[in-house]
Amino acid sequence: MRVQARLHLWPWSCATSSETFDLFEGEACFPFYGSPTLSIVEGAEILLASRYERFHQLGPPFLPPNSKVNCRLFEVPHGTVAADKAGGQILVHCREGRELLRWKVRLRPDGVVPRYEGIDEQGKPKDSPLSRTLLNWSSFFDELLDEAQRHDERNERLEWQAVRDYLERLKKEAQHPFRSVVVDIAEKMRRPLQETVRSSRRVLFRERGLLPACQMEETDSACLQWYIKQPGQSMAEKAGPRQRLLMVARKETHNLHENRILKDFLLRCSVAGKRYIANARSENQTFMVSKRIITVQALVALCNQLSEVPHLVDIPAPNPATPPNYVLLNDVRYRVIWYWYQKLLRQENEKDSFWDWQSRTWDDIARLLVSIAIILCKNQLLDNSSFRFSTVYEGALRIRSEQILGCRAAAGSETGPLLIERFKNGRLVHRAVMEIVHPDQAEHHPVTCHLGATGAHLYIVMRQLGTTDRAHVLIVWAAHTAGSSKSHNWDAIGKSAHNALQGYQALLNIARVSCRPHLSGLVICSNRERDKSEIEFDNKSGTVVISVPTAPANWLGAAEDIAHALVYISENINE
Amino acid sequence: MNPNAKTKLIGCAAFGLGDLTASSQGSILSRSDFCPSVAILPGRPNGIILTGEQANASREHSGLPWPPEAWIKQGDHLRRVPIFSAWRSLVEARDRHIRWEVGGGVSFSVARILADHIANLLISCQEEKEVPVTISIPDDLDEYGQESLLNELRKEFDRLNAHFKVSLLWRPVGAALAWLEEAGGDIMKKVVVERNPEDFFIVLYLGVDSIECVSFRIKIRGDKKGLYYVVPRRERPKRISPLAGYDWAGNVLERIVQANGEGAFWQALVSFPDIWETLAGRRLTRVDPPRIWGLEKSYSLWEPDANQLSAMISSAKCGPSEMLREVQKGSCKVNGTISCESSWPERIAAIIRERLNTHESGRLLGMIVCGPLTPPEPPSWLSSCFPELESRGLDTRGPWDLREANRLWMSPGETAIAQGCAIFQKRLLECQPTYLDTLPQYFLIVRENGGISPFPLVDQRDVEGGDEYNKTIKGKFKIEKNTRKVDIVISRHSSLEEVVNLANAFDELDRQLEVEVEGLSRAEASLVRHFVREPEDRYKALRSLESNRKEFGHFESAFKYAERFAALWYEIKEDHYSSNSQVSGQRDHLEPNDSQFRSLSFPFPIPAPDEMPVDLHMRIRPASGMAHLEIKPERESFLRGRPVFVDYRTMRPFHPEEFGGRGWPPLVELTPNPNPSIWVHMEGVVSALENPSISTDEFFALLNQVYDFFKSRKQYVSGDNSIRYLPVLSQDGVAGCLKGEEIVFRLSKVLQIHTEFMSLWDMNRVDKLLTRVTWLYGLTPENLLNQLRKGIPKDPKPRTLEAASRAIMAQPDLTSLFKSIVKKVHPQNNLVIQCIRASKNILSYRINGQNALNDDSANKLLDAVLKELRKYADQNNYEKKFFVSLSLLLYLLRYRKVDSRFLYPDSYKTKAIKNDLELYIKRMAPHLTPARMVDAKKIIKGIIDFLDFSGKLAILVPLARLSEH
Repeated sequence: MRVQARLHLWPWSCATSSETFDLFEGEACFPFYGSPTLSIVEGAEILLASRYERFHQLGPPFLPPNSKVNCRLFEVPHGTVAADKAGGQILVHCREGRELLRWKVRLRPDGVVPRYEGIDEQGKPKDSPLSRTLLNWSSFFDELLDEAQRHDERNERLEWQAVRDYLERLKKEAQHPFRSVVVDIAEKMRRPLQETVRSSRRVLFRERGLLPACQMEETDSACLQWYIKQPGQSMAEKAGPRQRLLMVARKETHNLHENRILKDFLLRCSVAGKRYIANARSENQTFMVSKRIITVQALVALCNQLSEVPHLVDIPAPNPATPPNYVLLNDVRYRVIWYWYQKLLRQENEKDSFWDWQSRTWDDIARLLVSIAIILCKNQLLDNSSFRFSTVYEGALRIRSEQILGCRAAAGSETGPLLIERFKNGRLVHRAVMEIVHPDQAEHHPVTCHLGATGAHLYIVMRQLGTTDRAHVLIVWAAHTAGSSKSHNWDAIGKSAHNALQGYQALLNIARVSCRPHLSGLVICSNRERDKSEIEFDNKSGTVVISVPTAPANWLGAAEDIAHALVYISENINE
Repeated sequence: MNPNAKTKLIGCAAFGLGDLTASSQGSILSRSDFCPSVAILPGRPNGIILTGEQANASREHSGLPWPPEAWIKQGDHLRRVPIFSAWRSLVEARDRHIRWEVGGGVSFSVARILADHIANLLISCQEEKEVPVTISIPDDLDEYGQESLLNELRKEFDRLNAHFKVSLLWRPVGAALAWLEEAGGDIMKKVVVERNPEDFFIVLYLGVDSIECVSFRIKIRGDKKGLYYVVPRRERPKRISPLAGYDWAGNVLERIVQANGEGAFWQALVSFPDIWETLAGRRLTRVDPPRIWGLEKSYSLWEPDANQLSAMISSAKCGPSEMLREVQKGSCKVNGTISCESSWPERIAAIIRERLNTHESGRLLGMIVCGPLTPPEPPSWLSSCFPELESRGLDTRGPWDLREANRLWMSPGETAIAQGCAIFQKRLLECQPTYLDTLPQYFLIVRENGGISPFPLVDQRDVEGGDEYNKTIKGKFKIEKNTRKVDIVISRHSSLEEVVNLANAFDELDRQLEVEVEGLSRAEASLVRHFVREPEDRYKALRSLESNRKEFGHFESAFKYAERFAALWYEIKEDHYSSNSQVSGQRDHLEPNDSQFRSLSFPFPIPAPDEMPVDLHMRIRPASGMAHLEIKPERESFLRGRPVFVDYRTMRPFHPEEFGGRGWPPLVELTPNPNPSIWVHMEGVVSALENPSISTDEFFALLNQVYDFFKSRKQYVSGDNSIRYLPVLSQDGVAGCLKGEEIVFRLSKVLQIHTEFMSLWDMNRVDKLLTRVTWLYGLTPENLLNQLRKGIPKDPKPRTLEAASRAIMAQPDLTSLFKSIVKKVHPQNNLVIQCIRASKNILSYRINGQNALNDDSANKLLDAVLKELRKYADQNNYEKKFFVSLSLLLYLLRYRKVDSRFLYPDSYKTKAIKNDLELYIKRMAPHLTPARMVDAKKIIKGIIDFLDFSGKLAILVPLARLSEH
């Protein structure tokens, strides 16, 4: 293999040789900590072999030490490392001159949390706790989108204050299992489902058939042609010994596209409901008395009952390639069915992508939590009088209706810029502007465009007023440690990140770049075991590690911790 | 609605700064800050337009250096729309649909942006959603703009489930009503009744989108109860206001922040209140923490010095803000202020003085200064006008916040206008007089007797504000048999004479021969026209010019002119005036032009079974959008007597020349050869002629050389290596290059000297001289022209007449020339070819040639040329002479410009000519080569079209080819 490619155990490990492995064609074994990255020469493409999905780059290009060509970082999907057979493979395509180089690598990580564990009562594989968590994350973004579209369905923006309020509401609902599409269906569709099934559409159609001669009602030219060809003179003779004639008969049928969708919807609701209940039971036995579970149970029972209704029993499954017909798009009853059916299908379809790209979904969540933390700082909820945060402009969270490689939040949704004022003894001593930079946009920022090697998932740039060359950058990493079965030492993670930062700082000082910012780090790790976030300050290095629970109900508390960390880091900057 | 019920009425003024709503009960709601309002457009067509506080808080295109969505770049699309720009662009669009581009092929109607902004203001200020609302509009907003605004408001209210009953009111009228509510008491009534009816008052609106200075005369009107009210009488503005307040702020900021880039400028203009507060004479608001000002690569605090801003405001030169124009041009081109040499304060003072001068005899009964940029006390530029104002009877002493007759009232903000709107609504409900408005003067253009006649649609001059004007026209229209639509042409001008002049403006192509084009010499302009005329379509014409770009010193100018001329020559149906203005960035559309003709369609659901007369009914209400036009068939059996309404979506610009095509051809142009090398030999000849001791024989020998040179066309190889044969001089005697012009001038001068004693020469020599020297066309020496003038009435030889036709340009001489030609017509109507060529020369080269004819001479020439054509056809002679005669027949149609009845399409004579021409097509077929036959057929059919007033210019090039070679 002629193309230089390396695998890094952590997102920040690009400059740490002990956490970096050279990749060669064939197989690569490595310890898995949740968010490994790949660095490869700029211009090369990496694809997921199972779906031919192109990997998305992380941050701007950078020049690695002792190298003459620019490289780019890519995040490794969880699916690649967790799956077997073709799923574990990645493809690398690189053009060298006129030649297109293609090669395959099978990644064999050690310590990946699997998607399924055990078998349920029906003999199907049972979702692992991590898999259930991911379903909750998907539902979390769906709920945010619904929140944004409450007043206008064209809207996809949600103010950060509203996101914060939503997190607060989730915190209060911690005694319930997390919402899902099936819960919404259970709450909103029970009555309409019964009505639609009871008066489901039927049509009368005409059919030619040999019917008793005495029942003749309607005929057509084809029947008449058949009639005159029959031997005999009178009708009785032409009807033959069985006394049957070809004639047109009208028949009633429910076998229509909209009813096929309706039946499929009932079946899918039943399956999704059962899975929701099973997951909730596995999560926490006390959830079984929750109102949501009871509602979903009722829905499952109803769906089972309705799918057995005589006129729906014989209806086949819909053809997957058939587009919605006029009734599904315009009939008042069926339109609602089609809306929820699509939502349910999308959730099913997105499950695989969410699993594969879960580390990127965690990046989104970490970025969201940082923005919420800044909102908390701005609102002075931390009771810290030495800093004042005031927004110049507040962005809004732009939520995608469908995930793109695991991401549901659009780049550029981050809040800011903000003005930070620091006071000492009531006197203003320092003013700076804080800019929050998404890695997809970092290439366009005058400071972060040199920081591609850091593998940051978010850059918080603090620039002094009136100067162009003095800046401090807080590198935020989102490490999806919950995806790894290894036990994690937060202190060791902090040290690893700190070492990497020191390496980057040294490289920046050597490099001939116009702006050499001072760097500090914040690592946001996912943690499935705890309900409360933990914060690990390293007084020596200034790098902070926060482990954030994966359940959305605990995220507001985590955001508060992140806000504390931001203030702590800001204080350290000036000292 | 019961007028006695205490209904809440809302007046709204939302022009982009200090927007507010006022209710009839006195409460006023407005925005707290003094920043311009903006709207944020979505990036996709079905997205949400953000307005109000939400838009101001959004960072999209705010000008900050981060995030990327906040960046401002020159020429890029802009999603942050300042409301003042939206208003200005709607006004400037006049009767065109204008949209704001946001990139990716997505754009939004400007009227929709304004409607969303207004709706948001009303919804956020009012809890009730079913109150009558009056919205103020700029004084110069076109009816089309009003219509689009009303439509978009209706849609937006439907979407928001609000049921506001909307009416529009002119902005200055709103201010006038608010003033008259208190000032229009008994004193004012007495003034009106007892004094001069010419008395007037002035409203000066200092707004962000526009600065308007409007005067009103006052009238007394009574209501049903017998109470009398003083009401203002509004005159329609003749043009769009030349000043836009945002340009003033832009001019000042450009000088302060130019070095910091467009983003910094945009923030200071749109996001910070300081410049606006200084313009409005307010104290600057300081906030804690201070405002962050994003520069290109860093941040700073925005804390401008109030004194510096004030000083710059008074010294800023009046003109459009170039930086603002650059920032917006990717999305919507807004012209804004017209440049002038004076400063802003001087220009506004001058506008007040101009307004005063339009009322020479009346007394000034009051002056209202209002709008968001109005200071609480008169600024220095207004004080400088005090002597003139006082001399007209205005009391300019303070206090200035009193609404009294004969006093100056300073009303900062939009309060007066919004209150005026509420008063207007209240008076409408209570059936009280409001104001008098002048209706737009619509003219229906109908074709009569082969010409065009305007027919006024509005007879009444004044109409009560809010009242409807109705008119029915009977018997002017018919639906043609088997047609499904009726096309009508409407013009909107201030006077009938103006329409008559414009409607007869068929001769733009003729005028083009004389226009001066910036950056091009006359010869170059002529060459541009030649390149445009030759190909078959406009695209090829422009491409041909492109491949000959080296032939022109300023190709940009040549190309722009070529586009303009090509639009005329190829009769481009779209609005070429707008495309011109876009290309040049000029403000042509601000001035009245013939683009004010519009073609409208009445579509019918079924075709008319036979020709059917129809009635046209028109309804119009001031400030309520377009007139409602409907056609009602006279016969009730068709469409069951139901009317058909005009579909304004089918409205398109209409050029008078489209009206049934052309009835006569444009002038022929001789394009002079631009190659200087052709003059090399002639230089020696002229030098030899300049020898004072030249013998007569030598002189005539040299003259023969001159004759040979000027008579024959010279080869011209253009930049794309194509070969053309062009004449040496144009019909006015202009050479194609500087060298040629110098030589021709010298030649003309030396010939003038040599011919000083020409009267002593024998006639043969004189004739010889005339036939040779007249090839100088318009530069023929005066001695020879005098000789021709003397000789023409004395029955000269035909070749002398032909020579005279080249040289003579003045009207009286041409008349006598035609008389002489007519005298040559034989009793059997025969006419020699020289006379035919002479007549053709006069009619095709000279713009006033047809004026030299009269009925008698025109008919005699016509008969003669028809006879000649018949003669040639009988002889099967379809050579050059036949086509020269055809040319004369065609150019005789220019006499229609003098007498529209000449060869009237339905006349017997015309039908006979058409029959003859069609016969020639059949007879000439065996005698012409196929290629020549194609051209000949095209020419004759083309002449028939011209006879039917539907001529096309495509026949002119082949006709010239066949008649000259």
